Amino acid sequence: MLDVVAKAKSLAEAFSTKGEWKAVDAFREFIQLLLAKTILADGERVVRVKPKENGSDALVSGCDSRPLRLRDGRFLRIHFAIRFNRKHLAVVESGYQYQTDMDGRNWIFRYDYERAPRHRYPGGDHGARDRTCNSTGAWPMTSGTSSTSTSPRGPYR
Amino acid sequence: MDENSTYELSRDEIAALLEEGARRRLGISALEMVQMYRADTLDDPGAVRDLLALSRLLADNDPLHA
Repeated sequence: MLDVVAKAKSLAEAFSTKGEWKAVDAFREFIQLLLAKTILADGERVVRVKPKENGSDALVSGCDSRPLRLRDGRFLRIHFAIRFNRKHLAVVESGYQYQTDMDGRNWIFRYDYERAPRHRYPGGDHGARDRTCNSTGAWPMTSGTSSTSTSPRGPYR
Repeated sequence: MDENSTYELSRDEIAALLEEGARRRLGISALEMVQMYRADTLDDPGAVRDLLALSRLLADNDPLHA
């Protein structure tokens, strides 16, 4: 456990101080480490996506825009859109969604953040569907849902 | 660094991922998804936040941002 904490500290320092692409690599590895040690299914990987033609931005996410498979059989969709702001790594947009299906139609919790919102949608927002876990540990998906949000507009609308 | 931890995608590969994701999740094209987001008419942007973030990797003058 101490090794994990030391590695996490080392990576956090690296993505705070290293040059551009090394910082993104350290950030990706940091996210991979935290998830792999806690909830990620074996073999799942957090990847860095970079465009061939436009080198200023990067995305840290699941591979091929797919959610990550978790140990409990559910999925986590994550993304971090990254840009360099005065030589420091800045997350300009991020999102997490815990879901029971690959496509995300049956999501349980989500959180979205946008550093500089360009639209009426909130810059930071979360939603949670209120469900009671049944005796099998599965979430009933057809009833008893509601949403909550920190936004005065409510969740997304 | 792990060799498989970085994916370098061309503009067309990013556009294809956006198209496939938008059609599967929303039943609309990637262009429609981006345009609706910009027009504030997308019902539930949280459902496609990852795709919208992926679209940030395209150049500002890309046809998808037109």
